[in-house]
Formats: sequence, C-alpha cells, structure tokens
Amino acid sequence: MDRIELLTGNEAAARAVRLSKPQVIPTYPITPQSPMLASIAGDVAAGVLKAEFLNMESDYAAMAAAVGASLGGTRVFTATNSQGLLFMAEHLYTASGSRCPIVMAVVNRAISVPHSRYADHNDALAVNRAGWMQLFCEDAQEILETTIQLFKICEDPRVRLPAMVCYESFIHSNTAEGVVVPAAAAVDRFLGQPRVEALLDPAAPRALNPPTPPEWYTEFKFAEQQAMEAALRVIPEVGAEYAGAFKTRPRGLIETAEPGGRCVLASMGSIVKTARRAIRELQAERLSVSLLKVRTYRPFPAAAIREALTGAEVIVAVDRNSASGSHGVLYDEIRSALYGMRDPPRVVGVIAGLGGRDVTVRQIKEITRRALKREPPFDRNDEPIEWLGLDRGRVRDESPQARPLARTG
Amino acid sequence: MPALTPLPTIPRSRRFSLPPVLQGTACEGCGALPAADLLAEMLGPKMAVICPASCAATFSLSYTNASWKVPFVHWIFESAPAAATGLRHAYDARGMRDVHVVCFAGDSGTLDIGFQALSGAASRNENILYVCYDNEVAMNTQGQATSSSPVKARTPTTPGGVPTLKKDAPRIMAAHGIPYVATAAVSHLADYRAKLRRAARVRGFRYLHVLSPCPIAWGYPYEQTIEVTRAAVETGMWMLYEIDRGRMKLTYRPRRRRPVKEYVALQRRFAHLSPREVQSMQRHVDEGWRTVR
Repeated sequence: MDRIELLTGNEAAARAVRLSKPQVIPTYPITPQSPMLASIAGDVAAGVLKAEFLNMESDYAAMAAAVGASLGGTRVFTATNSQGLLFMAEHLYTASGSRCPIVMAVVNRAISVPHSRYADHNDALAVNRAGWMQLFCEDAQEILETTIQLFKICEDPRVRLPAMVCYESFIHSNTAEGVVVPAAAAVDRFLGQPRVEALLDPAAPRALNPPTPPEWYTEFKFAEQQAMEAALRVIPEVGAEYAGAFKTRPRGLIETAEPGGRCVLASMGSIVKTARRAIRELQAERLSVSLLKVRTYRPFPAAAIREALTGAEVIVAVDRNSASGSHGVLYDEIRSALYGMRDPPRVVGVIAGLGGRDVTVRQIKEITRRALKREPPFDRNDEPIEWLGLDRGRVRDESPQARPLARTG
Repeated sequence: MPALTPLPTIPRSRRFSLPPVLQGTACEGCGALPAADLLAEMLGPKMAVICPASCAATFSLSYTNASWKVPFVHWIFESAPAAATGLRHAYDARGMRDVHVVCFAGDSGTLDIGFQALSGAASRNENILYVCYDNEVAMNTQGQATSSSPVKARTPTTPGGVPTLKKDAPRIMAAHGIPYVATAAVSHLADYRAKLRRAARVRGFRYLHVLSPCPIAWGYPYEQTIEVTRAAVETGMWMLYEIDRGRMKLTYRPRRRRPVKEYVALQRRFAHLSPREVQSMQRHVDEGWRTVR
C-alpha cells in the first residue's frame, strides 16, 4: 500500500534507496547530504536494507569505490554535493567511461570561495560534461520518484550510464513535505533484479581501460553519445511506466504548464515551484505566461524544448547558476536549441538564487512583466541578462573577496 | 596456474634481460616484472587486480593484449585501494568471498598521491592484498622523485639529490594495526614467495612492499637488476622482515653486512656523492639496524 509520509528531501532520497535495494553504498559525509547517510546507515543496521554500507575516507574514494563495486556487478548508490562533487570529478569520468549504472544524489550547494552551505546548481553544472545523466527535482515527491526511476534508466542496456538526481541544499534537503511512498513489493516488481554486468569477473577475465590509441578513442566517446541519445527515449519511457504502475503523473524530459503563453518561464529545481505560483498570479492579471520545467538537463532535450517553445514570443531562462565570462546554462542551451527555427522566440536570461539567495514569487512576476515589456536589460539584443536582486553598491564598495578577511580579528 | 604469461626459462641473473617478456611493453631489466609475476603465480586465478597509473599499469596491457590472465583494471592514480574496497564489497555481496582483490601499485601511487586512499582502506581493515613495487621514483613519468626516493639520490626533479629520508612505508602501514605487513626484494624470491603465501591466507588488509629496481632511473646496466637488489639487502639498505599480527620478525639477516658504499657504487644516481655523504648514509643504515634484534 502507498503511504503518505512527512519526509525531507534527504529522507525521500533515503526512502527511495531503501526501496531500490542497492547492494553497495560507498559514502562520505558532506553538509547537507549527511542526514541522508545516517538514515540509510540506520536502515542497513536495522536490516531493513541489505547492503554493504561503506564509510570511505573521502568523496573521491566514495566514487572510486562506487565504480569498483559497479565493476563487480552490483547495484550502487552514493550521494554528495558541492566540494565533494568537485573532489570526485576525476572519478565521475571513470564511472561514465566504464559505463557504470551508478545512481548518485547531488544535494546542490554553492561552491567555495566564498564559502556557502546554501543552494545553487553550480556544483552539478561544473561536471555537466562528465558523461552523467543529470535530472533536477522540484520537490520531495520528485526526489523519491526520480531516484527509483533512475536505477531502472541507468541499468537499461540501451543506456548503461551513471546518473545524478539533483535537488537543492536545505530548500529540499532539510524541508519536510508530504510524500507518497510506494509499497516495497510494487517497487521490486518495477525495478526487477539489478542488471549490472560484472566487468571484473574471475570467471571471465577481462582487462579494462588499456591505453587507447587515437584509432579507437573516438568510438568510445561516440558510444557514450549514443547512450545519451537512447536515454532521451528511455527516461520518458520509464517515467510513463512508473506513472502507470503507481498511478502518478508521468515525468520525462521536460514539463510544461499553461502552454501557449507569449512568455515562457524556463527553469530547473525549486525555482520551478516558485514559477508555478507566479504564473498563476500573472494569469490572473491576464498576462500570457507558460512554464517550461527542464527536468532532464543531461542529456539535454533540445528537440522537446524546441517543440515546447514553438510559437512563444520571449523565453525567460531563470538560471540558479553562474559562469563568469559565460552565461547561465539554460540561457545558453535553450538559445542553442532554438537556433535555426523559423521565427524563434527571444531568449533573455536571469541569474537567480546563487548561494541560497531566496527567489520570491514577487521577483519572478516582476521580471516576467519586464521581459514582456522589453524593459532593460531585456531590451538588449546582446547580453539581455538580469542578476536578480543584485546590490551593485556592495560590489562597488570594496573588493568583495577582501571583505571577510578585513573583519578578521 | 600462473596468471601471467609464463616467462621463458633463463638463468636467474639474466631473467629480465630479454626484450619485453610480458606481452606488454616493460623495459629490459624491469624490477616490477618479477614482483608481478610471482604475485600472479602465488595468488592464482581467483583474483582481480587493480593497478593505478604506473609503469605496471602501462606495461600490463596494450590495446589488444593483456598480460594478466585475471580481471585487471588500469585505474586512476590516487584511488586503487578505494576502488578495491568497492570491488571487495561487491564480491562479498555476491557471495564471492574466495576471490582475492589485489592492488599492484608503484611507490608514487602508494606513498604520495595514493596515500590517503591507502591509509583509508588500511584503517577500515578491508580484506585486500596491497602490493607496492618500489622503484623509488615516479618512473612512468621518467623518474621524478617520490617520497620513497632514498636520501641523496639524483632524479630529474632533484638534480642536487633528494634532501629527505625515504618514507618508511611498511612501518607506517604497520601502525594502522593491520594483520600483515612485509617487505620483500626481487633478489630474494623464496622470501617473497613465502610472504605472498602467508598474505594469501590472512584476512583483512595485507601490505607487501617489494623493492623493485629500475635500471634506467637508478643508472646501472639492465642485466644487473638482481645484483643491485641483492646489494640493497646485503648492505642493509633494504631490510627483509614481516610484521605478522603485530609481531615483527626479520626474515633475512645478512651474515656480515656489506658496506653501503658497495651498493652506492653500482648506481649512477649516487655518483655525485662525496665519501662523507656515503659515510652519513652508512651511519643511518647502522642506526636502523641497531633498532632490530
């Protein structure tokens, strides 16, 4: 029987892990992922989950062990974020290159310097070329469902790639919501036995990762590309199957709400939730606004996005990420997806919510109105980018980097 | 069943003087080869090898050929013991407790970049056999100094000689309280063999440190690998012992230790040393031997 439980995002992920039964769980703690580890460790100690729970000595060791365990033919889960994810970076490529179907929760947290424990997406996006699928969640329900679904997606023989289930530091991880938790037997039926090939098997010895000559390297990378393209089909397929089995709404690559608007708000993660409310209120003001939620960011669903945005006038890409010298990822990648379209919509960008800064319904409404009216900076053809809630005075006063040091002592 | 391609039968002193003996691409006189060869022979087919970036990782497999007849993975430099931990627990979860999980790593992958992962796995007392083949340089990148390079040795990154003492890895590993630690040398194969046999029987983290000279880095003719290794043992520069469940035992005691200058004289990497510096090395070795009975 399904049950509704009050769960934080971390607990929702832990509950999904309990239901999905990974056999090896190598871990290293980092704020704010650590309560999830405690929850899983408790499940293993209580015998609710039969798994090898490993207390590794670092984040990169956790990922190295995850790959080792996957090569040994087991279903593997781990979790990290921010500094930990960057520390793992080298091994992320080992996982994807070795085609290990590892599922990892990434509790998106800003990167130091300056130090922050709060949410933005810069950690996961720093490794968005590492060959991992990346799915961003809006709420605890989606965290639970996406985690379960990803085990099936990753282990699908057409895909065989690792994936990150991304949700935000504190906003999701430590905030409790009502979550419908499916019955264990039903999840067993949905996932089936692990389908992880033991590439390191004494019964069929193989040598892995030889120095690969230029004549072959490209083909390995192309195979990964093909797997990502297959994932574009498998992710919605598994989402639909899950919806059928558990009587929930299907989740796939993207989601739209109130389609057909002149303006489309595009975002990922918790800002989507805020945007939903803003859109309802804007529609009450008779403004024509739709939602584009990018759930699957890697592989990037360009075709689905192009289709969803056909006929729109202006797209407001709200990015909870930044890259000095470049743009927010949604701004850049949506523009790229629209290139070559007949009468493409304009795309404007908003950098919002960095380091956990709150993004309010009122702010979203205000930027939407301004985008529709082409008010600065959205009137520009070049760099129509707004940094939401920015206090330029603080930047001008003194070097922001020097500030914390100046206060020492 | 030896897991490596069998070596041709040749007189021991010239055993490694042939062109690449593995199907891979090892150099002539490579001291890592006998270390790998005997390991494969003693552990048998029920093993999987994780080999971090190193000469061994490079010569163990080419794109179409693998020298090891067991599961083998050419791993990331710094994390072989962590990967081995994951693999060990995967095998355990699947009921494959009889399969040995082995790390075969150079001194840099062991004692420098890989030291955190090594200490982590040892602290958890993972059921892994770790074999460090020590050629006292980062030879896969052409011989830069590592923390396992001996004091005064000249390397491309220490043209004036290594300023610090060689890291005492086996004792650091023993301090983790792991069940079995041993040193070995490719000149003393019976001793190495006995230690591999013992290590294969022990459960928990086992650490073997094998002196495996490199003719190119050390600067001696490639056919002298065994002679040079033997000199390291006979002069007392390299001590053969084991620490079994915390009890240390010398497994070989030179009848009369030869003077260190005889070892030094065999190698170009020490050619710049003054007699005083050799004397100071001798004093250091003597002090080391005073601590063992």
